[in-house]
Amino acid sequence: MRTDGRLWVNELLLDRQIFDVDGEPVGKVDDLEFTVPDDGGPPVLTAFISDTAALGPRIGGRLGAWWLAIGRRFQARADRDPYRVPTALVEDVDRTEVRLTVPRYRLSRWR
Amino acid sequence: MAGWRRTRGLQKRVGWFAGVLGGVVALVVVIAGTTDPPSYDSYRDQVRQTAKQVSSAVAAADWATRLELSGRTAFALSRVVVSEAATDASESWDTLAKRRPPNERAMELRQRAVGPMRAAVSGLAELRTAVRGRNASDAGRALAALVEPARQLRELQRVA
Amino acid sequence: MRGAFRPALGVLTAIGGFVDISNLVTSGVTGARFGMTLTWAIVLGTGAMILYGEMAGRLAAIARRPVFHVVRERLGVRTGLANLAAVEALSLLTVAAEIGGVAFVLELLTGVNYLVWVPVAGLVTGLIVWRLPFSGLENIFGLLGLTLIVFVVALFVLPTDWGALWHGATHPWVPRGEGHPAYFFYAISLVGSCVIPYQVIFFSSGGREEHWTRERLTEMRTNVLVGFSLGGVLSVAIMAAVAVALRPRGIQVEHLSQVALPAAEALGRVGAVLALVGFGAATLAAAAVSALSTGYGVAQYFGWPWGKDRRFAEAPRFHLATLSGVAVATAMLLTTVNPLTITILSVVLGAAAVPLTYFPLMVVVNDRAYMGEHVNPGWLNALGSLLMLAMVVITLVAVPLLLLTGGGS
Repeated sequence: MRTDGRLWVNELLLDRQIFDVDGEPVGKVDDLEFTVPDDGGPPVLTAFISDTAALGPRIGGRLGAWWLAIGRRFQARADRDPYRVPTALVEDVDRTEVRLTVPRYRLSRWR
Repeated sequence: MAGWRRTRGLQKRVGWFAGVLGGVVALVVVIAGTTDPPSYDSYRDQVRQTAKQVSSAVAAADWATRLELSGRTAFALSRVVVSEAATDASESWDTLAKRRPPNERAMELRQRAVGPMRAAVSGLAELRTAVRGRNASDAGRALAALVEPARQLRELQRVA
Repeated sequence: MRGAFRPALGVLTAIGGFVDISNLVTSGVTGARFGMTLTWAIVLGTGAMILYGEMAGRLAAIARRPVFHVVRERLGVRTGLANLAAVEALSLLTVAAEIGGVAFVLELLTGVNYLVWVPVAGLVTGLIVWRLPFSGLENIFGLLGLTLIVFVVALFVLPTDWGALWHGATHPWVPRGEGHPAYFFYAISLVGSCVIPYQVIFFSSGGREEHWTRERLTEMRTNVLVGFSLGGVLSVAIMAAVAVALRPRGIQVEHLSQVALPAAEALGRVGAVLALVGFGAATLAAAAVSALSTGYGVAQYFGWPWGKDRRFAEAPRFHLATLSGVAVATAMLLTTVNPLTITILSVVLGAAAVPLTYFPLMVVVNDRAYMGEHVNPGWLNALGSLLMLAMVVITLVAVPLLLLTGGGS
């Protein structure tokens, strides 16, 4: 993944389409996961969250809360919804898409 | 404290609701004001309109029946056209019949319309039965009975 | 046959997205009431559809993305979602109208009331969108819908006064006895029955299903030109046939059945059969196309796998969205609401809602990151924006006017 230079997450990451190594659609970048390193340095982007329910907080308000709640109920069964895509599996990010280094089905074990 | 705040929220909501309701009522009043007051002219316009609709139904049924009798349609096409025409004519006439004529002149117009309208509606009902039963002679009779009402309805469309 | 002329998608879109229940009905109604004086509305609608259809096809071929794939990243989550909801609601109205149309055709075939046929029509639509491969959809319905050419033939058989037709088409004044609000209301209905919000979703998604590429741009453009022009010609032919055969008899079109009568008058039993087959194919194809569009829209907004040729297990949420669209539309019809009311409502609301899908489309086809050298030229942007603006302004003016003046009667 390109890590040189700075990105505006809104401009360049959120809502991009994620494709797996074969070009199959995986989902959208619905949210981002940042982790604060143990040494207390600046937060690091560790994963893309691709989960329809994760849109809830971004929709906001009462509708967003419902969205999240209802989405979570479906979560247990929607085993094809990769919840967390670690940045380690990302091949490339550009203006139009996020491309992974693995096929779609390999993602489920990262849930 | 919480109870007080909730009441205030409720008041706010009621106020909002009342505002919307008031707006709707005002709008309805304005729209009602723009529609015609009951007068001869508006009644006559409705008679003309109904005559146009019933004439249209008679013409469609007549045409579809002739196509059926000469074997020029397929499946249930003609039967459905005739049946829809009978229903349309009857509904149009019922709507007009429910309206009370606003004055003496309108009453006279209504008297003039009743005959051809009823004749058209019942003629279409007979035609529907005949076409459904594939009875050519009944259909022919029903068509003939519709000629005169159709002519009168054409005149009603231009009534002053 | 690679590289050869294959206008299948164009013809399917013409039959399924263009000549549908709304187009059949509005062409019939306007032909009976206004003669040919509203021909310009069909020409305008067809021209606009060719313009936007080409953009949607180009997006599918060059960026390999359908329209709703990019709606969210351009409009943001919230606006995108509101947009999606509006488009889906409209598409559902259309699905209901089309299924109602299929039920009407079944009534014309059997004589049994259309309401009995609504569940059947819904079921058939569901089976088609679920089981029939995309190419089957294109070939079967494209071919069957071509029987609508019977209306063109009918014009040559009927005692058509071509001079009068031409005069009406070139003198777009309001006929005597009709008011301006009604005239413009039906103009909007005609344009709205040509330019439908879901159309670009379907065409760009269909382009992906067809695997259009940069090398097949010419094929795509041929599809657009042939398909939409064919749709326009069929609409005008239906309007003309009704103007020739129904208007002199003083018949106002109130039902789909009456629109078939000119074909029967001209060509007898064969004409009637061809017209009914054409109606059936057009409404069923449109039901399938609009239902698929509901699924395409949802799946593409959320980034889920989608595609007609993916099996259920590979794209479960896409198929589920599509099928529930059919189910909801069928349920809507079973409330016995008149399908023709739904039709007119969907057409007029659709005309006002056109920017919802056409605006994002225009934004993306101007994005060099997606389109490279194939971005819109300036004149196309100007023309596209102008058309969109005109449609919205006229709708916002004409519809309240019509409601105030009482239904255009």
